[in-house]
Amino acid sequence: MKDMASDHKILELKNLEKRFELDKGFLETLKLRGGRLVREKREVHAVNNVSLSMERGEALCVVGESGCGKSTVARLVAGLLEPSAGEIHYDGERIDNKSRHEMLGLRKKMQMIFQNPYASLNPRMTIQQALEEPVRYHNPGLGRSGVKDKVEAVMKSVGVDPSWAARYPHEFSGGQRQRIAIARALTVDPEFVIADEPISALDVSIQAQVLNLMLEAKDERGLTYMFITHDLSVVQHFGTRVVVLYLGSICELADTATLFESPKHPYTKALLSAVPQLQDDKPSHIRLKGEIPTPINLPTGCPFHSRCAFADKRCMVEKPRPMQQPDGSLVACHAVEEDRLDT
Amino acid sequence: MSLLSVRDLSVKFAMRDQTVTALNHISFDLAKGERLGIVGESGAGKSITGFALMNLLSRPGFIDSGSIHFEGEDIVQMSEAQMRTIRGNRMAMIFQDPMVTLNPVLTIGQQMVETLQAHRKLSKAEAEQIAIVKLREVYIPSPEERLGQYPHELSGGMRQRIIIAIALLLDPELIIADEPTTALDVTIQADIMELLLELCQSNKVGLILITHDLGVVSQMTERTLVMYAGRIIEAGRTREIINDPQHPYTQGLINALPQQTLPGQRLKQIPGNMPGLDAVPVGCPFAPRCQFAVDHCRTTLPELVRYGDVEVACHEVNRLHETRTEDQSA
Amino acid sequence: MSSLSTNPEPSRLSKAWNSNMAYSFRRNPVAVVSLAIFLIITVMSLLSPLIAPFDPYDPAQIDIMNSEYPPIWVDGSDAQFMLGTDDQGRDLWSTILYGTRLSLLIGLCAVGLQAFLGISIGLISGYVGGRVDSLLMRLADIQLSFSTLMVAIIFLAVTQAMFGSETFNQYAVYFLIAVIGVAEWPQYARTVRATVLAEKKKEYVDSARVLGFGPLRIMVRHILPNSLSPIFVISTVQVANAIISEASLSFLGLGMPPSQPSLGSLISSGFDYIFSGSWWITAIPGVVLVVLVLVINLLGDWMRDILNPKLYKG
Repeated sequence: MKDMASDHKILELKNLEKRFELDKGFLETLKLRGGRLVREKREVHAVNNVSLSMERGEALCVVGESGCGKSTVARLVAGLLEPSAGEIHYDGERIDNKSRHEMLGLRKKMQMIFQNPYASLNPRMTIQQALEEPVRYHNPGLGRSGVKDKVEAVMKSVGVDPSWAARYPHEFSGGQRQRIAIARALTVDPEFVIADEPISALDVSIQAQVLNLMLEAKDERGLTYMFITHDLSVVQHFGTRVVVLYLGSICELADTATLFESPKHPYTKALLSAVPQLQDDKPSHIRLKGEIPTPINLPTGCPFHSRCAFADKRCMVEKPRPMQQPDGSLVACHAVEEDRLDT
Repeated sequence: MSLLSVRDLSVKFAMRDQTVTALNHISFDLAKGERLGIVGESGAGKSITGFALMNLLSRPGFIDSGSIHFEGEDIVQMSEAQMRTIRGNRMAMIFQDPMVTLNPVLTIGQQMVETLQAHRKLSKAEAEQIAIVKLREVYIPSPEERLGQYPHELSGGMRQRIIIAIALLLDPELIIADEPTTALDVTIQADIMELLLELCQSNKVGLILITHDLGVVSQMTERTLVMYAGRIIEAGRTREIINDPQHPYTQGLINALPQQTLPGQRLKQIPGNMPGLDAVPVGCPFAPRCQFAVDHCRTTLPELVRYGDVEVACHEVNRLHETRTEDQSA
Repeated sequence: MSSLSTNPEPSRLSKAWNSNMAYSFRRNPVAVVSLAIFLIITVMSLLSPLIAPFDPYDPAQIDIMNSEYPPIWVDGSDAQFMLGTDDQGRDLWSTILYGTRLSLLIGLCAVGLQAFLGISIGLISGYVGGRVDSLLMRLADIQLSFSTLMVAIIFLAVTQAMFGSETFNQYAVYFLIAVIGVAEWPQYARTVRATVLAEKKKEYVDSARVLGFGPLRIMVRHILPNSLSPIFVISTVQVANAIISEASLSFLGLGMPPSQPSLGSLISSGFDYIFSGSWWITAIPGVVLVVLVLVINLLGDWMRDILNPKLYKG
């Protein structure tokens, strides 16, 4: 918190929304309803009114189940998708309405690591080519030896053996590929890294290797992470703060320790209780009724009300807003607000 | 007599230049109604074990030697026709991905009736009655309506329930579940696991649960096999293995879990990767990654031997155990 | 469509020899024999000026008195004409060699043109998507709803009438390449578009976008090299088709003139004499054409089996 730039939050999302149109083209919007032809557009509400901000140096974990919009948030921030509404500010500057060329400078600051190491490396490029390409592209003035040195330095720092350089991705295991993918993201010296489920495709012993690598990179380079995951045990270990998403809306946002010690939102509680524990012999988790509704027709009111044991009339009509709690966490739940959860 | 008795089972894959060994002299037993977990990372041979038990291996894989006695009969020696009377009937399998296990062009009812009629002489109406009973057992709401629905109309969790219902249709004595919840969300996973556990207990069905998740094994099974590079390296009661693992690999697996380390600190990782099937080292397959390995480990293969309440394949298990107890008392 | 990696590696050859593709090739006798025959035909036709005993394009070497000699294994043959002569007295063996060269040239060049048009359009269509995609694909649909031969016949007949047959004959090779090339680009465009749509969803493309790379770079450097397998497969089929198309057009008198015969025009010119007993003028080039197209198709079949992404993960 010394220089000028740190006056700003590194990332701010303001009322971010993303809707995907299901019916593209005029003909698909035409439907028969009760014998009459009407025009109707169906949309998937992937992200609904999400606002949050991130400080430099923190690791914010975004958790939720499939379809909760966590990957969409990551892609919006990375600029792979355009928001339908709302704003994304990076370092005090609005970035969601910039063109590709205006974004080029930012690309060096913000990088992304993907879930599937089998698909995130171009199968027809050797490791050397894959690592050199971004360095060349972003530093056109750098000479041949400069590029080489840079690539070698990055390889060394993430434990990629230089003898791998001439080989192709398919010759490596998942963990090694993820290492290479991380190396590639780090070649441009980013300060902010979005990691979209970077370890969920890997084996347990390899997960630990990759997590350690990311933690080391954080310490050495002062990285800020946005970490997307469904695995709560990883969150507890990796994140400084956690945001729980359900159907594209924020349920709870809290410091990691606070969230794991005293989860408040009924959904967070259910989620935590569902993690299989090593020691505890009896599986006793909070059973949720039903399943996640489709994000096409969002339920009115609280998105979670259809599965919540505490839902009352108000929950069905009024969408709860995130409220600050005494311990600093933000919780969007009427029942917490009215203090009728204690059971 | 045990329900399933596997002795010295070896499975090989005929690759173009060489034949690689995917399963190496595996032996284990399963009592009636017992729940057994097979844990390991990808490439350890746990899924191949499942397929071998169902005699479902296809080219280039084949059972090279050994026997699988299911209620006294050797599955390895059976003809395909004999095997069909067992498969799906007395022994059922649940696969990983509920999105692809059901045939998308047939309704749930058609698939269930077909399965029943393949093994028993039943009219369509009778078969449907049984199907409805089974769907109710897996807590599917309004099962009568579900019979007419197609798989794509149902969510992942619902489909996996239906797959379990189909597996249970013919009251099998053994269910082999290969990563049944890996493709599902945590809350759904917990539901499905609870359901599977409840059904196995109430119907006295044996369960072989193949998974990479130690947490799931810990909650679901009575006994566990830990596999590494095509071999069983530790076997015993699940509690024992989770609480006091003897093999360095099992210890490593458990210690690598984020829960085992304080937040923010480095995880205790196992260095390196599992060897490929074509490059399994001589001696102990885990030796190159093992911090306790001595010269002996790199030359001689350790046998699976009884140690205390468990079986372990490690030369140095005595020494390791003693140092650990010293550490703890110190 | 050469491979994009340029850095030479010492073990390149041994790597290629040991690759899955080379292995399956060695194990497949049909593919080996097909490739051998294809190479023999290609090399011989390329070397035709060296190995042909006569030059069929040189009027001085043609004597009308030599016309319609049968091949040497038939009575009444002349020893200098191994496969006999055609109606103009040209040595059939030499003419076939030259004609095959012409047919292969037209086939390959036409496919090259198709591939260039189709790959560019397919890449843009698949990568850009939206309205551009709809427009280009509707164009492709329209193009495909005319049969290749019909388009070619109309086009060639019109040009022939426009330029007169003298000029037409002179530039017939280029006209044929152009018309066959343009008529079949949608085959490529559709295949490429489909693979681009599949590749575009993969994370390495997202990763390239996050690194800030421009669309052209992503299309050419990242997506195209990963779309090559289906392009190779369809190329073999297209070469065979193009050779057939050329032969059909020449047979109909809209292709190569009799003075510069391709396989098709040779078959056509012999057709008039088939009932007067001179069957060899049609039959022998016909056999060459069939064998050539057959081996290319067999190679294509093998390639499709081995490059099918569902069967083989590369």
